[in-house]
This record gives sequence, structure tokens and C-alpha cells, in this order.
Amino acid sequence: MPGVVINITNVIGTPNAIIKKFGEELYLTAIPYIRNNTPITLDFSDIKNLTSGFCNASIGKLFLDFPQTADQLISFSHLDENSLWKEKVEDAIYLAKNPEASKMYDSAIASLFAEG
Amino acid sequence: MVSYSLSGNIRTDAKGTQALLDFYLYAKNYKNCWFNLNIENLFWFDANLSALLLRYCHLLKSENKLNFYIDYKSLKGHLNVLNRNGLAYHIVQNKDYFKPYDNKDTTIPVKAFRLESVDTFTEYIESTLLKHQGLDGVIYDDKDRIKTSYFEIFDNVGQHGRTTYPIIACGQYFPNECEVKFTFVDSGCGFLTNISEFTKEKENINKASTAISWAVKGNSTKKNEKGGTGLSKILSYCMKNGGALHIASDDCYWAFANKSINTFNIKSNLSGATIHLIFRFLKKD
Repeated sequence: MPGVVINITNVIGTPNAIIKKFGEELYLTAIPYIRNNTPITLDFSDIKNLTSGFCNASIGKLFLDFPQTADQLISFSHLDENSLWKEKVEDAIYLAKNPEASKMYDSAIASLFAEG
Repeated sequence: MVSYSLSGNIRTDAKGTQALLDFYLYAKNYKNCWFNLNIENLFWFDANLSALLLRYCHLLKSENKLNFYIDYKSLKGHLNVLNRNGLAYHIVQNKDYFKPYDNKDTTIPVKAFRLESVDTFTEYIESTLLKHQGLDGVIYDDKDRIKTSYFEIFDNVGQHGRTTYPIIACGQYFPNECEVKFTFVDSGCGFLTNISEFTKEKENINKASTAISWAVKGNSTKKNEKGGTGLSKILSYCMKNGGALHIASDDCYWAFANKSINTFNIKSNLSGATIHLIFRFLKKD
């Protein structure tokens, strides 16, 4: 179900998907399709850098705002090529579905502050 | 010409930060004049601190219209690094004598980035910092995490810093000490303003040291986002690899090193934040 292919680099104008503002641009590009129940494929080819901030503001927000249909309508291409990116995208989706997870700390850091 | 002497040893610590702040607080009393930055009695200057000194000089040039002068002859011996890394060139009016060329390949040049210069900043972190010979010992995954952390810090300044002033960065490789020190400076509102506002109903944070700790733990003033500002990942790297993380914001100098956190008071009424990351390696045979 590839649907409409949205090339992320073309939308944000750079291969560096690292700021929230770019995430918002991707989100705004995608929502007309999602609202229309049109499947989309977010294409990560040509992306050089990706941050959680970008993923949360784009993919995460799509899953947060369209919880009933996002899983069926949104797919990804060229994401398997980078395991760290896949992790960030999956984290963003997980966080959208489980907002309480935003309160979890790295356990080593939590220990450091508990000792302090 | 008004003159100010930077003297002694200025290192990446609370005392060094205060020394540079004292220079700024003195210089901002003057306007529309030439200002001599006298470094004849300066024995040591951690060159990564060029980011902080450039920030102050940039503020003084734009707000107080000061023209800076450095005696070229004083940039000798170790202090020649301030010529090689571009600091002297960016600060002074008498630019003819200063050419930022590093024939020792130990500098990560001082550079300013507008908040919209995403690609330039990305390139600097990826190539100029992370491909520097001083960081050859850092594994790929750690470099990726550090890179992403700095991207998130950069984005955070743009989102929350309430500033249009550029971000400034600079690094230095100290081969004898097996260290690389990297300094990132912004002219935003610092940690305390946003965090005390965000936490006023719950933790009610009203001290800079507590605000910095809150941020470094992984908290965020952004809603529904994990991971905070990127600082927790940098701290994780330091904890795992024996590095150090120092943050100066508001009136606090916060330092993690050797598995413990210490905080120091600094006399400042200047907004903004400085983040120092110190990579440490085993001596190569």
C-alpha cells in the first residue's frame, strides 16, 4: 500500500531533517491526505540526518492526531537502510501512542542524580 | 584607547568563565571607542573558549560599537592558537595581520551560525568536529549520538532561546592531555527562565543549578516529547567514556566529571548558556 509518495527531502528542502520546524512542514504536507483517508508513503531516500525532534513534530504528531487511521494510512520507504533512524521513527510513534513514556529517564542518569 | 588585560591561566572551568565574564562586564561600560584586548600576561587560554570570548566581543561590537585591537606580537607561543582558530581575525579591526590557518591541525575553528543555518551547522558538526583527528578514537555509534544531540541543542535554542543572535562553537584538540574540548554558546534566555515557568505548578524550580540538572536528566519543556534537549545523551556518553560535561547558565557553573556533579556560583546577569563537552582518551603508544 505505497499510496502517495512524499519525499521528505523535497518537502523540507534539505537532507538534514533536524529541526522541529521542518517536522511541522512535513506534517502540514501530509495531513490533507490523511484527512482524505489517502495512504501515504514517507520516503527517506536522500535524507542524511534525522532527529527525534523532527520525527516527533511530523510522524509522531500524525499518529497523535489520527490515532484510528495512521497505522493503516502511513508507511515508510528507505528507512530500513539506517537502524538508528528506524529507532527514532518507532520511538516517535510509540510516544504518540504512550504519552506517559515521555517521563522515563535513562536509568544510569537517574542513578547519578539519586546519589547526588 | 581603553584597555583590559586577560591574564594568568584561563581554562574550561568556573574560574575561566568568570574571568571572561569580568572582561565583558568591564567592557560594556564603554561605547563607540577602540578597545585594546591586552594578552601580554596571559599564560594559557583553552582555545575552545574562543566561542565564549567571540560571543562577548560580538555583543560589544553590535550593542556598544566597540572596535577591538589585539597586538599581533602577543599571539606567540601557545597563544598563536587564537590566530590559527580564527578568533583574532573575527574580533579585531586590524585584520591584516591575522590569518586563520591551522598548520598543526589541532583547532576546530571558531564559527558563528544563524539559527536558520541548518545545513552549515550540520556540516560543521559532522565534518569539522566529528572528523577531526582528535576524535579518531570515538566509535561510529557514539559519534552519531553526539551529532544528533548537538542538532537537538541547536533546534532547542531556535525554539526556546528567545533570541536572534547566532550560536557560536569552537573546539580544541590537546594531544598531550589526550583531550578534545568543544564549546557551544548561545545568547538565548538560559535554562532558568523557561524551566521555572514550565515547573511553577509542580517542582517550582527557581535555582539555575536545579534547572540545569532538570534539563540534563532528560526533562523537556516541550509537551509530549521524550529526550529533552539532547543533553542527557551527551551526559550518557560522558558517563560511559570518562568524559566531562560543563554547563554555564544564569549564575551557575554546573560540571559533571569523574562520576560526580559539582556546581559553582558565577557572578553574572547576562543571559545565554554555554555547554562544554570534554572528550578524554587513553594515551596512544
